[in-house]
Amino acid sequence: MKVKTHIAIKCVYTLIASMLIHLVLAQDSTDLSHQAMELGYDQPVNSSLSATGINLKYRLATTVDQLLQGTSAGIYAVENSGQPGGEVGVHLRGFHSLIAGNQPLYVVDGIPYNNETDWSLAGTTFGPATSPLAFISPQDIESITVLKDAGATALYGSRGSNGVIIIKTKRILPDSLSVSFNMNFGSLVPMGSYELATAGQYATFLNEAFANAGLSQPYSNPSGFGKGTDWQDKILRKSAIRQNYHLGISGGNEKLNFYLAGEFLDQPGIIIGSDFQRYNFQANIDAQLNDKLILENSLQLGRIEFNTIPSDAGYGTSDVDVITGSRIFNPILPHQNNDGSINYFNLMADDSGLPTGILQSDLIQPNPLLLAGSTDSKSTTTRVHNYLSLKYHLLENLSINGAIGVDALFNEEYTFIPGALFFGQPKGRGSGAKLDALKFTNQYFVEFENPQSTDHHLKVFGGVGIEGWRREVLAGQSLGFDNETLRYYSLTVGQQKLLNSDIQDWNMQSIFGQGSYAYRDIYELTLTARADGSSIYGGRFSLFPAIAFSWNLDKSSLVRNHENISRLLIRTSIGSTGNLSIEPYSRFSLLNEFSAALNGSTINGISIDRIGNKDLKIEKTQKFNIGFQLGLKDNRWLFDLDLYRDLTDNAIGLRPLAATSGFQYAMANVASILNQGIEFSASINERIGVADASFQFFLATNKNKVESLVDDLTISSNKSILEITNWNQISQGTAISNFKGYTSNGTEAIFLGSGLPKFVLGFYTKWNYRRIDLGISLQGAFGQKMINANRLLLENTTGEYNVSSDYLSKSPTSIYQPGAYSILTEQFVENASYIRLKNLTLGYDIPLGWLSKAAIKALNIYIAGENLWTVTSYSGIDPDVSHFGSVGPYQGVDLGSYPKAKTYLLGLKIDL
Amino acid sequence: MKEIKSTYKFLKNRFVLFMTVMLALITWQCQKSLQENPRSLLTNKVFYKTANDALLAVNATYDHLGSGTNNSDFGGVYFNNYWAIQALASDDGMSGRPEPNAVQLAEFRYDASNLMVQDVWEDIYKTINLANLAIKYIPDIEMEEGLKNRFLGEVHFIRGIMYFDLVRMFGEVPLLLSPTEDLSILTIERSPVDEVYSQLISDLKLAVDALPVKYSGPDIGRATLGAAAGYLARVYLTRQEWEQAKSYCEQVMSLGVYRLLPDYKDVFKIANNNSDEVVFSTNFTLNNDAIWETSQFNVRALPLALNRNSNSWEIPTLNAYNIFDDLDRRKEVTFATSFTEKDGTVLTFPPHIFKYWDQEAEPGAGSGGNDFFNLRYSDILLMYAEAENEINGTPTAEAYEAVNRVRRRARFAEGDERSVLPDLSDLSQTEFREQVWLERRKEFVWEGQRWFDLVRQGRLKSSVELAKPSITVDDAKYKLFGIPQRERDINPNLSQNPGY
Repeated sequence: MKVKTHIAIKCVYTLIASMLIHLVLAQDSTDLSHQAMELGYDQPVNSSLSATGINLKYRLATTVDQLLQGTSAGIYAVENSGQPGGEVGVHLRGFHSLIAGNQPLYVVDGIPYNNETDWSLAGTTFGPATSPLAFISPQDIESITVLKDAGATALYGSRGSNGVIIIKTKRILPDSLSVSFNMNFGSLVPMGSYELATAGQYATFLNEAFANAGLSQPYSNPSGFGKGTDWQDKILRKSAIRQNYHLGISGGNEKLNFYLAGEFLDQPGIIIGSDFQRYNFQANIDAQLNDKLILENSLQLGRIEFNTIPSDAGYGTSDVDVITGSRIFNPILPHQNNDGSINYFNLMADDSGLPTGILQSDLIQPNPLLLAGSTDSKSTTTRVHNYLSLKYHLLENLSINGAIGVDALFNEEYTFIPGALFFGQPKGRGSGAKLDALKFTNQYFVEFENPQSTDHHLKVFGGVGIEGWRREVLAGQSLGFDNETLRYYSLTVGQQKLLNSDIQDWNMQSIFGQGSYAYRDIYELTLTARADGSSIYGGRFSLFPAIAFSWNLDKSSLVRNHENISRLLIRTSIGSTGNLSIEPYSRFSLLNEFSAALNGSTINGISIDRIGNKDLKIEKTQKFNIGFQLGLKDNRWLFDLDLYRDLTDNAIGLRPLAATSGFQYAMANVASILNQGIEFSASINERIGVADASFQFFLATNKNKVESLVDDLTISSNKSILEITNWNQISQGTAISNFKGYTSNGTEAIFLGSGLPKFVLGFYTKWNYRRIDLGISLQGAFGQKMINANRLLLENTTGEYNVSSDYLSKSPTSIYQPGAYSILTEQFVENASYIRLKNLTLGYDIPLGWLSKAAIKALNIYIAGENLWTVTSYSGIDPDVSHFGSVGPYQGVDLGSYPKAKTYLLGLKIDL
Repeated sequence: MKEIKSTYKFLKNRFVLFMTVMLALITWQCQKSLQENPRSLLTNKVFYKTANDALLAVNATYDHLGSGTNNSDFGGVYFNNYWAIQALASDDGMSGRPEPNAVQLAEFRYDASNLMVQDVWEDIYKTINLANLAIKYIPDIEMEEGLKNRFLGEVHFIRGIMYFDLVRMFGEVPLLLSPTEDLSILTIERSPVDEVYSQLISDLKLAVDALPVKYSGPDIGRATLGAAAGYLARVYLTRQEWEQAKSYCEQVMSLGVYRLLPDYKDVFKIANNNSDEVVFSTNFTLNNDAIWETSQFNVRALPLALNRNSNSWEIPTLNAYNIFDDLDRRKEVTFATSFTEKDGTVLTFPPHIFKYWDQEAEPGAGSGGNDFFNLRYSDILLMYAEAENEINGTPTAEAYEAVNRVRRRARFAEGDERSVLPDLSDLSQTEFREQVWLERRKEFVWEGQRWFDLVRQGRLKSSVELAKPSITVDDAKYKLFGIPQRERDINPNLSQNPGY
């Protein structure tokens, strides 16, 4: 029966497509007026749908997702790690999902963009994930629009649950032919470092620890070690200069417009061994082929190359990452001893400051300088992203749109860890991996809009779409290198090789439509529906409908003639959207290879490794929104207030199974999650004295709550922080981030708060005075807690790791006892509220004088600073981090996070 | 009209072409339909078809006895926690580190949340599920019947010994005899102890009938007839069905393939894995890269001070160390209190378990090439002696001979006989029983037997309180482990053992 349904759906498609063609051929109309080139259905034009535009001008960013911090009410963006090109966790109106992803859908130039890390990188490099959005040059972006409510997101159906971010690249610059060249140079400085014990202080601390453990003190003159080695400083790049060049050219006439741009970005990391480069080309062409047919093509050709180090949650081989290692490594030891030998591991130092053979701690920690500097972890990716659409005006009011998009990614990754960094048995480890990902999009729709002049304005469109994704990976790893000179280019030299190949694909078919009716621009009603069928859920179709209504009071007789009020609008919407971001084949039980030992050799076996769940359903979010907009002084003062309630049902999680089943977890629909809150934004544009000033202010609250959990279970995190497990426990009534730990004396188990903020704010102001302009942006998040796991190590009582000065000042009692197990106690959970001066830019338009004769239209010089100043009570370096990336239940952990940089920038922009 | 015509012409020439291409593409896409096609993943649809599939399914079950390749909790059933618990929750062992789960076990303060116990429970049931899968699917595979029977014998054997461990540790347990293939069976209840025993006995008896006496080449190490019969002897000994126990011991002894190695030290040489003394063992390899295929004895038991990835996780009690005669070969093989490095440095430490460290084969220690001995021939001899003594009400000549063979072997160090451990004679039934039990303790230190023995012998409380004077044992509670709390949180139909 199922097959028949599919055939039926197939036939419907075919039928629709052939009808469209028929329509095209049968229609015979004249008098087609030239219409604006507004293709695609991605931009709601109706006031009943709430869409927020983002002001882009005063932000400097490596990747697009960095642009989103503090720029719109309802966005909570966490720059998870400071690694160049690192992924930013973007969360719209809270956290809707446990494990199926909390990132919004990005739609770039009309095509849903592949922003899944797994689908763009093979994932073998060390360190945190790199943002798939890193391919887009922020300078090519014309606009970013954020869609949050049901009315606006239902059109994106099974992918709208986490909100939608619409990105449009530039299509034409202000003049018919313009050339714009922008270059800037930045200097990167670390945001901070931990104050640590000097070698002398640490030796004293160890002496006490040994004495308290009843052992003889190892150091006769501890203070003689002096300052010792500053490992945090050792791993810093001495001169980190960022450079960025961008050239944009646009031109055209009534029939043809083009925008061409090229960019080079070189972003070194502030830690040695890490960097990021982007080469990017954007070619956008719009053509009025004849008076009925419009063509639009967007081509993005990008290449990114980056090197990473073992930081954050992604280690190479050691127990501890580079960043953590640089803090806990024995300061008594130098990098290189006097006899020229290098200290490869964190060992105890003897009385003369030379390494003993004994490990300093239970954790095996290679020299952080070597772990950063002498390992390889590089990734190169080439991406071709092209979207071609055609719009044909059958009648003045009726058009047909067809579009085809291709997104092809070719990624290569290599890693190498020299044998010297493996404790015990020296052996190098190298790997190589290739990923080939292809995404194919195809959509058609018919659009009808009656002339706006009448009282009754109707706009309707509907169509079908198909999307197909494929991802192939081929990876090899080699261990035990007899000769290491060729590193990852000689995987064949390794004694043991592991190979892996994988292919995944999934398809989606959709039918969508939207109709809106407006009466005299006073009342507007919009109905939207989309049905998506995805192979991930066995081809089952789900329907996502929404209804939105708005009332423009300023146009109605009630307030029409009120002088001060230029706008007064009430809008509301209700509807549902989905979230399908789980791996294909998640419903299947899987067999896996088991290798047993038998009589001294390895024998292979195969049996079940994962229990499937054929009943797995897509996550659905019911969204309700009511909003008010008030405009004063001809809308120079504009205020928005939105109240929202998003209820996600069938949230997918790992359902704990009784181990008698042979499994501990199965993927299942386990929870209902509620996100509700209030968003307020204000925008004021005024002339103050001699300057033009504008202010934008955003404030949004969010309350996240698990409404219900299957069988009233408690679900614990299955990720550990150092050796602490079950630190996040959710149950009915808690937030999806809910820390579980102990009172400071370690006796009583208590809950320690949530890593999700209670409210988020953003502020942005821009001033213009004659030739000078100034932009300032602030961002802040309040009420979230952070597990500062760095301190768990730096405040150890056992003497195993170096300690912080702050801890020493409390004169702690230490007892030498390697391997003492730690628990999470309340003093390590800190308030991570912060407000940050994110960006400050000062620009000056140089008087052109004779330069204008050299065809220069404008010359702008600017200085800017990023991450300049942070107010927080958080004792770590940066409260804006997430050790485990953007996964909702794992927010609020800081451990070995790659430190972010303060960037000071000098730039020049020339317009020809 | 001209315009219309030109438009129509345009349509005909280009737009139609475009739309045709689009239509072709859309149709092509449609035909791929929305069915999943997991081309690089193994599912039931493509497995359990051939004799080799059957072999792989059986092998996977073995894997979960030892390395537990895909187990998130580090290793399979006999990898570490199983034997660590047997030592800790007895008079033999203490925790050498402040790890709470181990300390609770050693001090008899553990409850149903103990993670080491939970780990064993989970590993055992995972293995049972793998065995159940093989038992369900292998019969329908078209293959040579003899080999098919052997495969089925192997997985029935494994399922049998899994339930034997479960029923001894937890008493009544859920009895699952078919694999989990969907999420419907999640609330199973516990089955009575006798029912579990009758099932595991029938599994082991099936194995006795199906398994060969010996293997050759790469198959050495698989379950044999002797292994199944030996386990049946242990089952009946535990049940105090002495005649049956004795008869299965005799069956093993009469096979003629087992013997005691001349020197106790030889038993633990990596080269002697699967030697003639081994009736059944969980195999590990000295494979540095596949870390889960290596055993964990040395990583856990050797002293921290040795600085060889050795951790003093579990250490012996002084009581366990002191019960030996100093000249008993087993004492110097089992324990060490000092170690001399190549450069002459002498490290000293409290007694630690050294018997699993084959210093010639693994000077670095920690790599773990030693097998876990589920059942050694000396155990068969001691079980035989014990059963014979109980049946006849007094030790017989055969009983003396069996226990004395074990004692005699312990007199020999590298071929030299020492004047220690004289042959036993002229003992009452009770004295003989005590002597056999003492011999068991000395013979099987850190071999996953002690808690089972103490509970079976009904002297857990007295023995532990003697070895660990500061501890009081709630005997009524600790003769069983608690059903893991995590299980009961998820499955409301699971009852709990008394005291937990």
